[in-house]
Amino acid sequence: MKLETFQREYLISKVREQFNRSTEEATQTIKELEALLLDQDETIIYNLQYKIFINNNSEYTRTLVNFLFESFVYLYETVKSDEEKEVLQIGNRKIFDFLFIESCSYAKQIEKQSITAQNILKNVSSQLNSLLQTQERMIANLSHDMRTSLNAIMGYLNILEDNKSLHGEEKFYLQKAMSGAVSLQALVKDILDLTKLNSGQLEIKKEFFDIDKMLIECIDHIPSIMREEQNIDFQFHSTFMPYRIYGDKIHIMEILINFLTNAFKYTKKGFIDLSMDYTIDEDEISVVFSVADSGIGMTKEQVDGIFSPYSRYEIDEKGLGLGMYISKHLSEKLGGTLNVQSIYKEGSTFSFTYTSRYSPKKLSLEGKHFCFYVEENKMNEYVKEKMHFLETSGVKIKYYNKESELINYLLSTQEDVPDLISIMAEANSYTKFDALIYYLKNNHFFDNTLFIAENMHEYISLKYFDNLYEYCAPLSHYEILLNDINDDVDKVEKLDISVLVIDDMETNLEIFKLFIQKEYPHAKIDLAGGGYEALGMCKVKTYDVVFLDLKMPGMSGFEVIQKLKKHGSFLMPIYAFTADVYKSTYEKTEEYGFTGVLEKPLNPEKLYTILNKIQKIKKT
Amino acid sequence: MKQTSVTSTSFDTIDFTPTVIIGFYRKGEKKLFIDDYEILKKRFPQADIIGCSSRSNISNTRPYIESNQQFPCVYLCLNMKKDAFHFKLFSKEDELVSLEIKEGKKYEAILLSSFSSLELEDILTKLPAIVGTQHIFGAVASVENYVSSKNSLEIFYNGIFYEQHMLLWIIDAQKYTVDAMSMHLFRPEGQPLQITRCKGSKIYELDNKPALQVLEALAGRLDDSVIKHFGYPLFLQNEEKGWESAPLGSLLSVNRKENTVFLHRNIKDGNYIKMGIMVDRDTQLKRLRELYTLAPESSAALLFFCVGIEKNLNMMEYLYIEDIKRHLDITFIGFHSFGEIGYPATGKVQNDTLLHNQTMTMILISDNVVS
Repeated sequence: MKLETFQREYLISKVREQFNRSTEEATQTIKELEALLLDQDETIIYNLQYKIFINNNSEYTRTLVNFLFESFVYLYETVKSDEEKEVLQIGNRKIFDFLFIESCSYAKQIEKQSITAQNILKNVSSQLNSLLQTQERMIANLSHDMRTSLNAIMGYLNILEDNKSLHGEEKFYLQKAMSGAVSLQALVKDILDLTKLNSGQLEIKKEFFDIDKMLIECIDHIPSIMREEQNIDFQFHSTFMPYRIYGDKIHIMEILINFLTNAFKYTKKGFIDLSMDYTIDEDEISVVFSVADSGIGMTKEQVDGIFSPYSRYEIDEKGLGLGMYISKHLSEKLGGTLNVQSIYKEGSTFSFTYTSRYSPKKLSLEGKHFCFYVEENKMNEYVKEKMHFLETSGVKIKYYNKESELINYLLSTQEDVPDLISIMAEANSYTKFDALIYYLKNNHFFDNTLFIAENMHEYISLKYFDNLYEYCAPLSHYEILLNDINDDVDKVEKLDISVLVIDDMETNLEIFKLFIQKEYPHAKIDLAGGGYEALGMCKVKTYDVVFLDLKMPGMSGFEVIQKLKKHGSFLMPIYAFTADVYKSTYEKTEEYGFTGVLEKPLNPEKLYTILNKIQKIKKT
Repeated sequence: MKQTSVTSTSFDTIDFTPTVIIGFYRKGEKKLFIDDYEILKKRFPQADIIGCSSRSNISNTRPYIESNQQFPCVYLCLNMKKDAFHFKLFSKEDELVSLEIKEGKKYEAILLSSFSSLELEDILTKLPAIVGTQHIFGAVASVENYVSSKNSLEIFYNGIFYEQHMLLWIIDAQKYTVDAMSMHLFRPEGQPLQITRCKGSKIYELDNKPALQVLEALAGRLDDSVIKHFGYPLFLQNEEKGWESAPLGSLLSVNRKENTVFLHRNIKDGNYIKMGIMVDRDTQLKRLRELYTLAPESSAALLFFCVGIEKNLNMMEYLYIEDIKRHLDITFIGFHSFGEIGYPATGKVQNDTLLHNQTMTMILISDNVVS
């Protein structure tokens, strides 16, 4: 039996249409179909089944089945004799039996197997989650214990340093102890970061922030003793950026601080250069941060392994070498890229590129009056653009580049007194201006004017400037400084706050008290060694702020806050004081209604920020 | 090396004088096999004729696998140099002492076994040192009905059938290359479970709890029809690690009253298991095609496919052989075995010759091009 010409032509056109084949290919396909349906050639069935198997594409299979079915119906309707119809029926049955019945019974079995597989995966995933939770609990406990001990060490060392009672050899030992404690703190932080990364607990918190301010904070993280190393010229170059970028500031800082720490650790002489540049492409800003040094450099093998954990440990056992591994993973989490170039014995350049949304910087300085004195060799593109930006933000700018002109202005002006005078000069000129400011302030000239020294490049002991900046002051600092000067008017009233600190460790209580007393000598501080004692104290007295340790024997911090709220002490700001740095702890404190979290080891700056806030609330 | 594959009805097509003939016969067709042997021996008196009993056979012609008992006996004829190989029949490890191994000479080896037990596994660990090669591949004979005929597996060597024996085919590596790989369709999943009580091939306890209860707590109720198709294989390992190269054991049945599971192979207390999950089609093909990289031109192949594969894939099994056929121009025969011996295709290092279940093991024999 053969196909009629009209039947063949019809089917060829169908193949061309449905499978997008050329006439030649379609003709060949129809020849095979003819052999399959009319001669029951099994080879073709095998080939078809193999094609379906290899394609593994349900769309292809569906089209093929439809085509075979439609072809059969068409031929059945167009053949004339019963005999031909019977041949067609046999051929059709064979195809469907062979091609699909077998596949269907196999598919049924596979379906049952895949249900089992899903069950296994579901259970494995829940087992892993429970393992992670156990791991999280373990790390939380470990973190708590390590940070609690560090709290005591760092606290007492800070107090000893502030007292300035140690001299000579004793002071040297103190510095050594502080340096050891700082390293230990960094190590604990690295290990915790690593564990958080590995267990997927690292939280990325994005917000708009100022890069200039962040870079200054990064530099401030490097101990001055390192930066002032005689043989190293530390330079900071940045392009002026009138934008805020959107990202996780803390983690970006962590990467850059790691770059800087490494550069200082492995550079004994020469230079270390921190720089920032950016490009804008429509809605996105791409920022490149680089740290270049003339340090020991790395071999190709060392560069290849720099992002693996413990890499540095393999090289020279200086620390665990987790920093770069963490930075690499952090960078991936943030969606940025890390790059390293290095020449052995000549130096390395680490760079981090971060792309994000951005928003224009907005300053609330309209109508303010600034005076800039910039010596010629201190003038650069950054300073020019910064002054221009301030002008476009509504700030009236007066600019001098000659010392005599500035002095003349300071001694003669009576009206239109500037809100801020910024001086960027050579090192020896600053001392001269310091004396001049003393004279001016003594005579109550410029009483409401801020004097700041910018772009100093090195630390100079100046007494009468209101603020000193080694590099250019971040724009947002102008706003903060001008706001603070207004707040300072009521400084005397500031000190009357009552604080309750609850912690089961006596050392923590003692350190807390010492830190508060240092900045707030008239503050009323009550200390409670446990939850029950604290509840009793809160019944008879109202506090402006409470610092509550979360992990205490008997009654935990969470139970204490629950009971305090029950007894109506809900209006009091209560801060959790904890060494548990896990995301879940933060979430739980929010859930229980804590005002915020103060981490251990105690950072005095953070404590004072909270107390200032409390002070302001109390005033209003 | 000339080669051809034949069945009982196509002996006429052998157009050279083979020196080795490997034959697989369905156990129920033993008489036909003896008749075939007589014919072949008469025609090729110099040829060594070896083989083993099988559950069903694999042939070089479509549909490759037996769907309708169409290949009761299959043969692979090779005209290898007579001085390039010899055989050693043995039933115990200590009989291997008399092995004709010349110092400084390199060998390849193919093993046919008429039993599958821990003893076989033990011998497999020692053989490389005895024969002086890691290249030891092979299979365990099979029969149609697993349960009732467990002890009647046979190997055949020049006219005699042997139960509880092994036949080692030692080949001169300078003249011929033998390579193989064992590929399966699963991946291990979950935490390792330790076998804390077992006997033979029955597991009573995993992690000190009833074995079936532990498995079903992880996988849900094990479906009887899937068990029947050997669809729940377990990965076995001596230690808690190294799962990428762990061999599989087919799960044959469960006893819900006893809370026990019964495997296709013997296990030991202290061993670990993990449940297997079938990998996707692309991964299966990728693994299968790794075998092709081993094949030199004009190889002859022995395909040892586990009865688990036959049961699990059913008629779909032929598609995998079709893929082999399309990619490699080779002559092959094979059978559905009760165990396969080879390197795991999923292992990182090819140095463990292991006894597997649930694999498609392909042994390639070819002239050594260097010689």
